[in-house]
Amino acid sequence: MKKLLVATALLLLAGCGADGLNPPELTGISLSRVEVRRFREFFATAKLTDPDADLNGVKLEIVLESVDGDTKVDTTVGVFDQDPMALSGDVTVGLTLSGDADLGAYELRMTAEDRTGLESTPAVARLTVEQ
Amino acid sequence: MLDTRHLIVAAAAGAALTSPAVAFACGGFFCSAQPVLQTAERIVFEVEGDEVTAYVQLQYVGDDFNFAWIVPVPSTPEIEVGVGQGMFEALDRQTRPQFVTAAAPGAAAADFSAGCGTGSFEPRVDARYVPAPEVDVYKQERVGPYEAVVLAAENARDLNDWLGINGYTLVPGSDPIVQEYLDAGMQLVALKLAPGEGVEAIEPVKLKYSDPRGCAAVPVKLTAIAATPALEIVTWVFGSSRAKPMNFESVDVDVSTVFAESDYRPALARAVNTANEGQGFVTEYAQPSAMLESDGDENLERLLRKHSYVTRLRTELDPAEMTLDPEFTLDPSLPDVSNEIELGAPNVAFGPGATFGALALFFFVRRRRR
Repeated sequence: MKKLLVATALLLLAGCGADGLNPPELTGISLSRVEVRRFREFFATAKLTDPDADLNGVKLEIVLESVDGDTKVDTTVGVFDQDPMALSGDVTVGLTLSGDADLGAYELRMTAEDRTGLESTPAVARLTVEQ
Repeated sequence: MLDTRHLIVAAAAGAALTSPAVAFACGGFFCSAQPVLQTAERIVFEVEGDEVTAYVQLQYVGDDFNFAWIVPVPSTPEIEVGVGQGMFEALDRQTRPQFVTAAAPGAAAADFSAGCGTGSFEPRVDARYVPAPEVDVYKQERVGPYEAVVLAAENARDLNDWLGINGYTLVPGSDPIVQEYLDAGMQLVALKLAPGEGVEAIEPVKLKYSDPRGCAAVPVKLTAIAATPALEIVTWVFGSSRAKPMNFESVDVDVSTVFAESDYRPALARAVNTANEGQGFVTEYAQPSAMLESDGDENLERLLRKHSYVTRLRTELDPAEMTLDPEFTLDPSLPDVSNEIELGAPNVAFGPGATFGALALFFFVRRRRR
């Protein structure tokens, strides 16, 4: 009984199984290429950690903004097909910029939001839109 | 019985008669510009039993070196560089059509000016979540200026996603064709320029692999994704006798319609279009290897010594016609073909029927020379 109480306390301290206690984290973002072209898919990969629950159902919000601020576009995509027992894993999104987007330097910000609405701090990568 | 041993196939897209202001390539060469300008990939396949060695010349002119070159192979190849350009250049120079009468230079240049379009609409970003791709990576290595990987997967989407995530830039729409190759049990070789390498570092690659069919094929199905209309493909076959296409038709140019050098390519196109679904090859040259010189190139020297006969075949394909990968075999019953074309002459050099007489005369003259 005593061991059970200790284990429960440890789990609570770690936040396991208790949705809404800890925000997800996105770290180590990397791009398949840093010089991209409009209408061409490129990929962003980051490590997602959500101590509160499994990763499936986490929403990724992606903002792509030109450094001069003239172009800013965003979208969201849901995480799925992750090991339901895993609290951490790599997530990859394929991104395609289209339309009359400005060329030049851009910042990509990716944020994870768990099912309780807690958000991670953005993972940021820089890229250049060439064409 | 057709002898497919010691078969070498050299394939070139882009032709001798077209402008040198070309980009690249056939054989599943994808890049991030579309349409891909493809005129100058050349491949030499050497088949000995079930061992196939392919020498592939990659040429690129453009400002986007974020390309990936993809080619299907039946087994995990050894990948090397250091082949050099000389072999391809010497082969092309000596076997392309020679016109007897001086003619106005320059075949019509293809219009390669198309692009992705600028898209006059609001900018947007589309995202898709990419589950971890399930692939089998058989080999991943640095080869000269390239990063190379050999892989296979159950699903083409997984394979293409893996390549994309790892920086191999692919043209959209290849999934169905890649799936065909995967379903046939093939692996895919992908090459891209390594970080820090520019297009000036591009050099030929050598792929050596086992093929239980002992067959050489030019992988044009992948090329269809990014090819321009009327892509020229020139194929050399070195072996013990003249070669012919196995799954494409052999067709003849009506040289009586060729009054100037610039007439040749349209005549070739007309000839190819007489084939079923436009899938035909014209034999432009078929001679003993001894007729060619190595121009000091060691690789070509070795190949010419090893194999007694050279055949050059050429076609012009639209993307919609690239539904088969041309395969080649040897047929010792076929006569020699000269690459000399007399402008405005009756159809004797390539035409059916009358061709025999001309070839007989050619043999006679050659024997007299000896």
